[in-house]
Amino acid sequence: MSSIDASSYNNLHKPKVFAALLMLLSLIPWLHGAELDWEILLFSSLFMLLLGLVVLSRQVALLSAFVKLKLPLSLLLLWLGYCCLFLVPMPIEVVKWVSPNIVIAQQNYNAMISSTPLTISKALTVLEIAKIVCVICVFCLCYMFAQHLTQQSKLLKILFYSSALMAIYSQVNHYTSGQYELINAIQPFHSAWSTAVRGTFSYNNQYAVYLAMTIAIGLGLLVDNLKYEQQTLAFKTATEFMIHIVTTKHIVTILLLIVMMISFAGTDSRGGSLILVVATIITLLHYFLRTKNRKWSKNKTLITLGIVVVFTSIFFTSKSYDSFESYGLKDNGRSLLHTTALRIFKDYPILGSGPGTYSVIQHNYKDTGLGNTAMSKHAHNDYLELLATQGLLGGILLCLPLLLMLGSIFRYLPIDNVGSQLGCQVAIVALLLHSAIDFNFGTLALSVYFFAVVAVLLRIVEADKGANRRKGENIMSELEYIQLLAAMCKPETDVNVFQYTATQDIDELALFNLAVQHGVTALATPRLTTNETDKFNLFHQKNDAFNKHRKIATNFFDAEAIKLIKALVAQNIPFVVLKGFALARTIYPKPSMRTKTDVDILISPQDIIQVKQVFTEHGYVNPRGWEAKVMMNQMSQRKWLSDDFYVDFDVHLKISNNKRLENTLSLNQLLNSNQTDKDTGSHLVGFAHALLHAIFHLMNHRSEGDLIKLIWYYDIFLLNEKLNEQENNDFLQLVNEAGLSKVTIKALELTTQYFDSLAIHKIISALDPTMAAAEFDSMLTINSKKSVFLENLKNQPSLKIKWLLVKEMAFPPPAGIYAKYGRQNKQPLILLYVRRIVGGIIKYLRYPDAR
Amino acid sequence: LSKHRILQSFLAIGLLITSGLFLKLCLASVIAARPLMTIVDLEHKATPTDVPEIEKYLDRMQLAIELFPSRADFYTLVGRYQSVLNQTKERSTEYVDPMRYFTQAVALEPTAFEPITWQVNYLYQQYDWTQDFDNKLQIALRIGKYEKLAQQILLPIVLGNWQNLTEVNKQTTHQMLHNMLSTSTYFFRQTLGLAVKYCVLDVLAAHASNAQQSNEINAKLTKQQNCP
Repeated sequence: MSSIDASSYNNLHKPKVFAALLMLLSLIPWLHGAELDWEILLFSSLFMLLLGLVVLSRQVALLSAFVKLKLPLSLLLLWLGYCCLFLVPMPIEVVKWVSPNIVIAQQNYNAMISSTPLTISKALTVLEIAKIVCVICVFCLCYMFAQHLTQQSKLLKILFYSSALMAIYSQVNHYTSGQYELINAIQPFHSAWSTAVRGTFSYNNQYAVYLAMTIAIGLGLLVDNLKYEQQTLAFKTATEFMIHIVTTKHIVTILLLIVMMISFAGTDSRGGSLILVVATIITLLHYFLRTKNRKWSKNKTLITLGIVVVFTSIFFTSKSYDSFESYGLKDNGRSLLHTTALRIFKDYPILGSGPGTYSVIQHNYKDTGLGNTAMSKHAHNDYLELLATQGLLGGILLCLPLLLMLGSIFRYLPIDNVGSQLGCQVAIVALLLHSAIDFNFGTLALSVYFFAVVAVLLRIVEADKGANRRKGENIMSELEYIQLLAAMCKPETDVNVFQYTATQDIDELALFNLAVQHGVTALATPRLTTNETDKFNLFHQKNDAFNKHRKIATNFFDAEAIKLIKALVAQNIPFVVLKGFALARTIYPKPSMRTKTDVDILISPQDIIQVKQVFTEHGYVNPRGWEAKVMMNQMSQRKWLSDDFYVDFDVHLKISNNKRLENTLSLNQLLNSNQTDKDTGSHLVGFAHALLHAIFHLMNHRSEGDLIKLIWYYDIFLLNEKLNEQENNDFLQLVNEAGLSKVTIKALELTTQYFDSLAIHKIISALDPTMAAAEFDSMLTINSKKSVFLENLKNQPSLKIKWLLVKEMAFPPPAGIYAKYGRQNKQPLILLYVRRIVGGIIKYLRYPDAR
Repeated sequence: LSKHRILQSFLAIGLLITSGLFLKLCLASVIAARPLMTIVDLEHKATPTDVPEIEKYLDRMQLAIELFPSRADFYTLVGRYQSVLNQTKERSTEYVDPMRYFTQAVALEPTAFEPITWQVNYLYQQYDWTQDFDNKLQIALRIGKYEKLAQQILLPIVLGNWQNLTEVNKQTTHQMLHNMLSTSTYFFRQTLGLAVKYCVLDVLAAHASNAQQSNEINAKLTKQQNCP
């Protein structure tokens, strides 16, 4: 299992800055989409301020935060640097050489100049640079914050809901002829509300593409949420599912989407309507052609048809359709506008006329056929305008990072959250296509949304790649199976976390065996629904059968264990119930969801005789046949309920068998916590102590090369989620006092590989690795059995005890040998000892990883 | 402190400073917004009672220029306000020649049509027809011939002084007229009115974009009186 290097990890936890980012993202379309100079400068300033605050924070190491984006981000910054170069005054000879027409333009008015910048308007270039800085800041901020599913989801949702609100605003104004208009259109755009819906944008085509982007994102989010709920809530019929949709929050999202679609159709934008359809087709074709499973289920087909019918009905009754009928596919003078841009490019081929200067140069080149409208202030093709103003060099410098980033997004085949990812891809394609016939990137809000969506998508792709998913391979690794199980276990969130690839063949038997081995059969079951039965049918059957048996067995097990615990309570023996049995009753929705093989209790060594007596009175025996004095701080007790079924108790005298950890938590400390079992009246381990115990228990096993069960990670995840502020502080104090901060960080990082959570990252960021005691450093790595044994030997206080340890491990008493090979075994005792040693050697040779 | 940490701190400070700089430029644009909205009204109907308001806006624009000195439109606006102020009878401030503002605006954006158009307009109103003016008019016509604002300002000048125009300027004016007449009826009517006023209907006749325009021009030609 791969681990994350703590030094390169950025735990960005700045809720206020993130809230400010969300607020700005939601606000930016509302001020003409940031079209006016002061709007551009204000938003640039605010986004820069946010980034400055984040960079200033100690939580971020920039170099490692963007380690996967080094090249594209460097190229973006190079592009920014290139644009800044336009502001620098240069000797006239130099400018004459690199961009002769700039000198001609300047000397037309003043022949005496000795130096000039490379742009024909410094002010407009400054404004363009502000836009570029703004989008880079937004990109960096969104990329840094979108580490987790929750934040990715929040970022996408804010784009959607802001647009939905604007759609309602548009409809109100459309039907009241603009009586409630808050933001006036800026000239030369002045279409009446009754003619075209335009939101708060001046130009209805820009509003159309804004809606196209956000509709796609909203639809993607809705699909993911519905799919997730369909899987988790296991609806038996389509009607049941439909009733669920209508009676939950999803109906609000659907209604908002309908309002947005109506607004979209009312924008009177032919290009916008066409582009959304084309972008959707391109994205879906790209996805389905790359997905090996091209079969569409009946439900998916019905839902798609439903959406198509709703959208088509809205479209055919809309202004956009009228516009198509009136103008067909006429370009409205766009070819002349494009020719103008090409003429400028011809005169300024390498460097262009200066970033943002199109509006002050276009009239020198424009055709009379364009009339005298101010619409020609833009080329209505962002790519040509870019070439005209920034030249070939600027075009290349921008295209390279964009191609790199979009390449990694579109080369990746979505596995999780397919809806959101495809929705975002549609948004990106729509904007890129529409930019060939209009000026979208000229409006800051659309550029900002584009880069925000790209950043979130890059994060999603990285997260999936980080989980070692191998594209195009049909065989899943064990790690991928465990991750699949982890995805099945995750609690309900508003984001779909369980959607597994159609490209990979899943060995359901292997998956089931792993679920049993990792103790998560009870958690994996509810996530499996009829929708996935094609893929998980066998797993479902086996898991279901297993759980039925397990549930019955657990009832017997629990009843017997409770009987014994009650007896200990009745004797007034101080003890605390630990691990699975306690956690099942405190942090799991139902105790049966936490599988367990035994009950762990911690007692005081002075009570051991009394405790043994209670166990004996209840029919328990020592299954080992002997008791180790040095090797471990615990004894085992077992009661057979039938030939194959028993209840095991592990009675701990110390919290751990590891000499370094045994005094980390004392019985008195644990007794002070307020958790009491209502069934037995016994003390259950408190959350803060339980979390620390779960962590060092896991890390101790890991360092010894043992199997780490997924359920242990899940315990840690749930405990983190359950901690309140006080418990959180208690936990941090415990960790620091014990010197286990490094071990804790490592364990929590490992947990996030399966169960990512903001709560866990919060704790990681609150821990100080410098407070760690060096003696625990060996717990950070997976060590050989030999080194573990040698270290254990070293930790023993005297030679005598060291010898006892070796003796107990290599030559346990005969009772232990018989307990292992059966009391009825007729082989000589010496042969059984030899068998044990040979067995140990074979095991050592067979599992080299554990050496 | 590690090297990276120090670099990161510098970057953060750089970002915060640039953020402040952009905020300053934003403030300049906000300050200039009101004067920009009011100028057209004042140009049409400024009276001596408006002088305090004009002076207030001039002060604002000076501040805006201080904050964002490379904005050509700010200089143009100050030039226009100064012209309005100079035209009012009871000037409360010392006379300032708006020409330097227009000149500065043109120097900042030599390819833009607005500064040169306003400069030509001012020169035409205040000074005699000179060679320099002819040159400037030539640039203004070449740059702004297809732009509405330039057409509105320059057309009365060129039609009113048709005989003084150089051949180059006459040709450019023909292009401008062709553009205006083929754009919309509104511009046709406006141009027709000016042609009647300055007795240059024959100049317009060649640019009629349809039969209706030809008929209207011919009708006006036949009715034209008092023209040399």
